[in-house]
Amino acid sequence: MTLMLRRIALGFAVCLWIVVVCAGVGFLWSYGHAAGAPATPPQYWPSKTAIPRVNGHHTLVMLAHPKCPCSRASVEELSKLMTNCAGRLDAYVLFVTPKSAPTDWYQTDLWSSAARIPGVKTMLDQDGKEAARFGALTSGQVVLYDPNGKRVFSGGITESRGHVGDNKGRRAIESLVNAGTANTDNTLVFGCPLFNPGSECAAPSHDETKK
Amino acid sequence: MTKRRNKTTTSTTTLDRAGELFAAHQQTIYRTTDRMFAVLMVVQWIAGIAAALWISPRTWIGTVSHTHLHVWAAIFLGGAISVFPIALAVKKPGATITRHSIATGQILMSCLLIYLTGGRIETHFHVFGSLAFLAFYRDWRVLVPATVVVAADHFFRGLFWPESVYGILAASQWRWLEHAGWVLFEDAVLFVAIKRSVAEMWDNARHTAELNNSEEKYRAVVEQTSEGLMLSHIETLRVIECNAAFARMLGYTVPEALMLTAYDFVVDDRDAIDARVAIYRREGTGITGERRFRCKDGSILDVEINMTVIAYGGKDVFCTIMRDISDRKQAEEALRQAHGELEVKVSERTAELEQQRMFLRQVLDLNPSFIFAKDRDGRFTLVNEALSEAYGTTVEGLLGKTDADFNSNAEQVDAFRRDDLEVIDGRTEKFIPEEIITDAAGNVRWLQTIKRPMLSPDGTVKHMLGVATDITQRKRAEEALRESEEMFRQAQKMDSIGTLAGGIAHDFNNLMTAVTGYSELVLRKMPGADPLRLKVEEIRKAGERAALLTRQLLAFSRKQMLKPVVLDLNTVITGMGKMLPRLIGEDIDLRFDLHVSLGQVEADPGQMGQVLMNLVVNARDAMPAGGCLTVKTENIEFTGRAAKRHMVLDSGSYVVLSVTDNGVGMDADTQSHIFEPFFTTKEVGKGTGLGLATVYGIVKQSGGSVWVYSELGKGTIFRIYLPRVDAIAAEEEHENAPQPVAKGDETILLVEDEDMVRDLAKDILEDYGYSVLIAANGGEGLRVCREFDGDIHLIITDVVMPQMSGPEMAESVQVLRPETSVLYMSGFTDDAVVRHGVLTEDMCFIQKPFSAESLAFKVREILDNNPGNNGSPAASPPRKHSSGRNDYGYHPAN
Repeated sequence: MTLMLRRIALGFAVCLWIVVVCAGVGFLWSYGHAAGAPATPPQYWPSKTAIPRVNGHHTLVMLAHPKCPCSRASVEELSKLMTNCAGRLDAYVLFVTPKSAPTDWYQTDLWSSAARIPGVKTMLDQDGKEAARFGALTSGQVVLYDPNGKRVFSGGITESRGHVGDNKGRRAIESLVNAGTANTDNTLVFGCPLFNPGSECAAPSHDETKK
Repeated sequence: MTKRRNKTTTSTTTLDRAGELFAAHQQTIYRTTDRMFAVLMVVQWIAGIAAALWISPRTWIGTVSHTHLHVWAAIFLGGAISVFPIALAVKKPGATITRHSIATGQILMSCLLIYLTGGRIETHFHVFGSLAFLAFYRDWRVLVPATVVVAADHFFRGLFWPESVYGILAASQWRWLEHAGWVLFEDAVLFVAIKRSVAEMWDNARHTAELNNSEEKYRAVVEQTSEGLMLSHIETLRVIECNAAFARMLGYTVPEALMLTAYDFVVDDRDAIDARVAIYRREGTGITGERRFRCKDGSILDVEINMTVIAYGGKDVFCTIMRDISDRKQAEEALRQAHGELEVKVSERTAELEQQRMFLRQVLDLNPSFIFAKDRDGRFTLVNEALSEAYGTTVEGLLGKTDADFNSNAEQVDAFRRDDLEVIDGRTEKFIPEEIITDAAGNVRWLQTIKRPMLSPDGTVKHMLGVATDITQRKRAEEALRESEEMFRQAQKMDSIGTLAGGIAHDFNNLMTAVTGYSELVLRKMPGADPLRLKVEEIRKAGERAALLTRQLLAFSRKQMLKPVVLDLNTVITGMGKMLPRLIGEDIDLRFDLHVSLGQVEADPGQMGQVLMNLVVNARDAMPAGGCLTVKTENIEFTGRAAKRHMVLDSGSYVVLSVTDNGVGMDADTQSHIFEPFFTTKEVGKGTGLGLATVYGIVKQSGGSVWVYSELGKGTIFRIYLPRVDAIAAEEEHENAPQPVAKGDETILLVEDEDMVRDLAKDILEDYGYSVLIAANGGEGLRVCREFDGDIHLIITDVVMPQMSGPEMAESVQVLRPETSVLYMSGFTDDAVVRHGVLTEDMCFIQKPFSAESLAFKVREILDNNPGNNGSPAASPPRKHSSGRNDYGYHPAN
C-alpha cells in the first residue's frame, strides 16, 4: 500500500513537474516572441541626420540600446549580414544614449561587438535624436535605404528576443542589397525599448525627403 | 549424464551469477550516472543562472532597467527542471523513473540553456552532449524521453512559432522531423554504442561470474584448508590477505590479522627478520623453514612456512603458506627428550658396561695367569695382557690370531690345538698340570693350564676358555730349592768334614806341638855329630808336614787365621807369573787373560796365591799329556740373584778368577766330591786330596764362591767369584828377615790342660831363661796367681780348658794382678776363637803347634811391648762371651 502510495505520489510529482516545466517553458517562449514597438522610419533618408550616406550604396542604420542584451543577437546577425552583403552595404549602428547618462554609459560590449564588424560604423546617438529621426522605438531596429536614399526595409533581424539564427529580416535585407528585391520590407523587432515610457525622444521627428 | 547435468547446472549457475553481476553492475552504473547527473544538473542550473546573469542580467527600457526575465527563468525554470530529477537521483538512485526524469530534465535544461544563450548554435551541442551523457546509463531507453522532448520542442515551437525554429514562417510542418532526425541519428549511434557496451558488460559479468566461480572455488580451498595462507607487503611486511586458518592459528580474527605485520607475530628481533626478508626478496621462491610465531594470547606457535614472492594486484608480495607443526614439534620434543633420556640411560648403561668391561678387563689383565678364549679354528677371541705380553704383542694384536702366528714351536702349537679341540669337541674340561710355551723372547715358560668349553646360547660349544698359570718361577724355585738343598747338603757335608778335620787338627796340633817341640829341643841339645840326629830331624820334618796338613785341614774348615787386605788379583797372579810355569811344566801352554781394569777384592794375598797355585796344580794334573791352561780375570755384575751350581751369589759386582784347562775333565759324580778333603782321583801318594778343599775353604772364608764346570774329555773350568770392593789396594808388606830370639828372666805362669804341651812349653820357656809356674787348668792357675808372692810377668794359657777357660781365668787374674800380660794359645786358629767370641782381636795369641822359637819370640815380643811388666797388661781382659754357640758343631773336648 505504501508502495502504491509512493508510486501515486511519484506519478503525481512527475505530472506536476511536467506541468510546471511546460508552463515555465511556455511562458518563456511567449516572452521571447513578444515583439517590441514597431518603428516608423521616414520613406527617404532623413536630411537632418548626421549620418553620412553614399549614393550608390545601400545604407543600413541600426538603432540599439547600448545595454540591451537582446540586441547582442541583432549585432551578431548584422555581422552575418555584412558578411553576406560583401561591401555593398554601408551600415551604421547608433547607440541611443540618454542625455543624463554618464559619459561612458554607451561603452558596452555591445558597442565593441558592433565596432568590430567590418563595414559597420558605430555612432553615439546622444539623447536619441537620430533614433527619433529614423522613428525607432525598440533596440535592434534596422532601417535600410537603397542607393537612392529610399527606405526599402524596416524591422528587426532576429526571430525572437536575443535569439540568433536565420530570420526573415536578415534574409530580406540580403536579398534587397544583393538582388534588389525581397519578400518583405518589414519585420518584427525584438529588443528593449530605446526610450523611457513617455519620453519625448520616443516621438518620431523625422522629415520626409524625396530624392 | 550426471556429468552433463553437473556441467549444465554449473553453466546455469554461472549465467545466473553473470545476470546478478550484470544487474548489479547496471544498477551501479545507473546509480553512478544518477549521481553524476545530479551533480551535473546542479552545475548546469548554476551555469544557466551564471549565463543569464552574464548575457542578459538586466532588461532595459530607455535608461530604466530591471532584472532580465532570463535570470528569473534560469533560476526558477532551471530549478524546476533540475530539482525534481536531482531529488530522484538522491532519493531513488538507480530507479527507472529517476533516469528517465533525468533524461527529460537534462534535455529541458539544454533547451533552457539554448534559449538563455540566445539560440547560439554552439549551445545546441548541449543537446547532443546531453544525449551522450545519457548514454552513460547504457540504457537506450533513456534516449527516448530525451528525444521525445527535443522533438516535442521543435514540434510545438514550429507549430506555434515557426520562425523561432526555422527562421521562416512558411516552413514545412514536418521540418521538425529533420531536427529530430539528427537527434535520432545520434540516438542510433548511441544505441549501437550502448548495445555494445551492454554486451561487453554482460561479457564482463559472465567472465566475472566465471572468475568469481573459480575464485570461490579457490577461496573455498584456501578458506577451508587447514594451512594458513597469508599475503604480506614485500617491504612493510603488513598482512594484506589471509585466510581463516592463518588467523585462527594465531588466535586472531581475520580483520585483526589484517592489521598485523610480520614483526607482530614472528618471534625474532627485528634485525633478524629484516635480514631474512632481504634474503627472501633476493631469492624470491621456494623458501621453506620452521619459525616460531607469537599468538594473540602470547603463546608460541611452531610453524613450518613456505614463502614465495608472487604478483598480487600488480605488485610483488610475499605469499606465505603456514602449517602448524606444534604437535609435530611437541612429538619431536617428546621424542628428543625420550631420545635424550634414552641416550642418558644408554650412556649410563654404557658407562656401567664400560666400567664393568674395564673391571673385567682389569680382572683379566691384572691376572698374571694367561686367560684366553679360542674358537674352533684356534683363533683367540679373548686374551689378557699377560698372554699378549708373553707373545710380544698387544691384546688387540692377538685377537683373531692363532698360537701359530706367535709361537715358532710347532710342537707346542700342535699340542695346544689338540687340547683345544679336545675340550671343544669333547665338551669337557681338561687340566694340564704342566706344559711349556715359548714366548716372544724365545724363553720357555712352564704353564699349568685348565681349559673348559664355553656354551653358546644355542647350547653348542664354539669356544673354549683357558686359564694358564705361569709356573716357571715355581719351577725355577723348585729347581733352585733342589739345588739349594743339594748345596746345603754339600755345605753341611763340607762343614761336617771341616768340623771333623778341625777337631782332629786341634788334637793333632797338640800332638804335633809336642812332636815338633821336643824334636827341636832334642836337636838343640843333641850334638851335631850324633848319629841319632838325622832320625830326630826326620821326626821333626814329619811333624812339620803333619803340621802343614793340619793347617790345610784348618784352611778347608775355614778355621785358619786370614789377613785380608784390599788387593788386585792381577797383582797376585803377576807376582806368581814366574813360579807358575815352573810348576806346570813345559808341555802345558799357560795363558793369561787379565782384565786391565779389574776391580779390587778384599782377601788374604797369600791365601789367594795358594788358591791360584792349587787350581793351577790341579789343572796341570788334569792334563798329563799337556794342553792349554788359561788364567783369566774379569769383572762381572749380577743384577739378580744368580743361582748357579755350587754357589749362590747376591746381586752386586764381582771379580772373577777363572782357571780353564782342556784336560781330561770330570764326570758329575767326581764334580760332587772334588771339594771334599782327602778326595782325589790321583794315584796314591801323588795328592793329599786337600788342594781343592783348601781352595774351597779359603774362597768361602773370603766371602766368595767357587763354580766349576767340567766335561769329560773336554776340560774343566774353575771360576772364583770374589766380591768387588771400592777401595785402593794396599801395598805389599815385606817381612823383615828373622832376628835371633832374645832370652829373658821374667816369671811366666803356664796354664795348659794338655800335659805334653804344658811340659813342652815349660821346657822351652825355661830353656830361654824364664821362670815358669805351671797350672793344669784355669782354677789352678788362678790359685797360683793368688798364692805366688812374686811378680808374674806373663800368663800363657790355653783357651779351651775344662772347668774354667783361659779367658775366664785371665779376667779374674786381671783383678788380682792387673799388670800381668796374657798370651793365649790354642789348637784352633786365632780366627776361629776370635770369631766365636772366645778372644778379642786385641788379645795376644799363638796357634798350636808352635815351634820353640816362635813361642820364645812371641813371649819376648809381649814382654818387650809391656816393659813394665808390673802394671801394664799386654792385653785387655777378655771379653765375656755368653754364647756357647758353635756353627760348626764344635764341642770343646777339654
